[in-house]
Amino acid sequence: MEKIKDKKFYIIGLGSMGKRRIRNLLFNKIKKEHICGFDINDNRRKEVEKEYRIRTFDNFKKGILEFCPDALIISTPPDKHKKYFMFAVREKMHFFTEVATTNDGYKELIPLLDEKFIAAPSCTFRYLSAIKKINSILKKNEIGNTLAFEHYLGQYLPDWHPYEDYSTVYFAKKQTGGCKEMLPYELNWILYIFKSEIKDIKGVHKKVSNLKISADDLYVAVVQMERGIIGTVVIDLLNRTPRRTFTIIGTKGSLEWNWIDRTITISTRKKRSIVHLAKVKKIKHYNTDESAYQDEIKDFILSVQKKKKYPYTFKDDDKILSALNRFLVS
Amino acid sequence: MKKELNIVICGFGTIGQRHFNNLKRLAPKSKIYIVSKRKDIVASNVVRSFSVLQKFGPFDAIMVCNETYKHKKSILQAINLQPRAIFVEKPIALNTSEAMEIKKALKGKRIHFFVGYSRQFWKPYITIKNIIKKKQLGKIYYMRVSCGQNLTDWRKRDYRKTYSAKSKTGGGAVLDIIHEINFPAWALLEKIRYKASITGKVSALKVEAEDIAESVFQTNSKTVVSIHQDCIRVPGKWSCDIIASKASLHWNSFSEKIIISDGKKSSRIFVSDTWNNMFVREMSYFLKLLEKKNTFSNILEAINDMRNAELIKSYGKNKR
Repeated sequence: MEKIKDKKFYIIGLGSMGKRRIRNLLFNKIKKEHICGFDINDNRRKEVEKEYRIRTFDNFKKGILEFCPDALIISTPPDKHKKYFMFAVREKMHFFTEVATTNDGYKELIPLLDEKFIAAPSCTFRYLSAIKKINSILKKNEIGNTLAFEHYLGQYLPDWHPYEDYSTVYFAKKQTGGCKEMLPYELNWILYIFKSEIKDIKGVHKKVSNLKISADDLYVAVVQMERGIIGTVVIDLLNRTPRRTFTIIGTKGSLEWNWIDRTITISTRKKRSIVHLAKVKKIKHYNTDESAYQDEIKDFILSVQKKKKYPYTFKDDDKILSALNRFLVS
Repeated sequence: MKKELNIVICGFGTIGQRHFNNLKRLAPKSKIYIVSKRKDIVASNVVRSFSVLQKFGPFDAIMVCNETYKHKKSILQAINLQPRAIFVEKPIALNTSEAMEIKKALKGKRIHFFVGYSRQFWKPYITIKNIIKKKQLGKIYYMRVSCGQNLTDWRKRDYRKTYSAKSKTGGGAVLDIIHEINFPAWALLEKIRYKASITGKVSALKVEAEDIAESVFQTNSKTVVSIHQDCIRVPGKWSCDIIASKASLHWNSFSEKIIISDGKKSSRIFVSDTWNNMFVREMSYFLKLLEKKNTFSNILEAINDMRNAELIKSYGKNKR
């Protein structure tokens, strides 16, 4: 078995997620000589070279030929994954993709996947301590059987990347908008918690604000799971106060997770208890715990080493993105 | 109120009794007749049916507080007695068709007609409406109202024996909690138009009706509204969220605080109210209508709510 330190990782796209993945690889003891990046944007490449001291390329194929990577980490805007994952699959090269907003190309991709290489779509929130804690509360049956849920995620789009003009970033565009990116992202961990698939999804998606974007800024989805659970997922790019709240209604009580407050409140008829989650390792202005991303990349590395099975597949991802498509035509 | 009023309360369950007690306090000189078949009522002036009421009229007000499926018949009987005002507990009737019959029967009659949306008299909801009205939040993009309470905690009697247990008697989350369909339209001062819904029976409650409904609406000014109604939640909870151009608002019945936040600063308004005070305010409002010359009616509001309730139910049915 090859040692992981000998594996080489090629990061495609050096925006905020690409940079994060470089940090995640370095955190997981991958030598910087075994990491390189590709981006057509000069400034991004220069920034990465300066900050992380890794080699970068302005031409994808040149990077492949000169760096000879073992794995691709595809961190491009969500609608640009196809070109790179199809390259990886033809070359039987391990690859990881960030959250997608479309399953375009999945029909060709999925039949070509085999055990010789790892194909790993992102599922970051499965590694979040809060999600692990919610799972453990449900496992202990503290609120009884799960019946329903309410989920809300909102953050003002210009605050997502305060260092750049929001109107020019992928999340401002119709095809790769912030809501379109975040609905599958959120459904991913919600389905993981409920251990179910989506039976029905419909609702309203609109641009309701004056933000300088072509993307929808509000998604309101009503959802029914195969297990019968009914709920709602609301995502907006409008809330000046970032908020992610998730409520589960069970037969014995309810559970409420507040992402910003880092609390999980369990309420039953007799008592209310609050679980305070440990402080997170935050990087820059991001609200999400960096360790979730680190653990996710660790699992990708371990799966490349054949030491662990990566927990999420493109078949799973296809189901979620198909649900997104159904929602968008509802 | 000093004036002696002649009032009828039809139905003497929890809500009928509450209105009776509040009327005794607000209009102590009034004579109150109770129409009920119950034998355990400790009060004078109890009659078993509308038919014997004629000789005790004319009436200032007739209050229809019985089970939803009996509303239409009772209202039509009440109209025949030509009172100055009719009060009916929400929902107005079992369906839009019944509500339209009531509207037709009221046409040309000088009778105040008031569907009792008690939440319109609840301090948290009044405060939220005032905040919207003053445009403190800016343009409203999204409003979410959520109301859930387990039927076993909600009903004093065995819920299986109440009208709440069956769709055909007016049960189910959508009709039983119709005030949450009413609230956004009332607070936003705009009609809401149906967009999507999912309803279902997800609990083990012994009811022949939906115990949960999630629905989405939109107003003409493009505010998207989502409504959650359930009769399964333990413990019961109400909440309201608004996302708007200047700030967001959050309120829930656990904290009793309205929080307005613009991302830089947030302000908190403590809003506490007792359940009965809400009904006292509602009744005071109704009694004041009796002094007005112009006829009051909120029947169109009630019909809109009923139409929306029917849309939620018919398009949201659980296919399982």
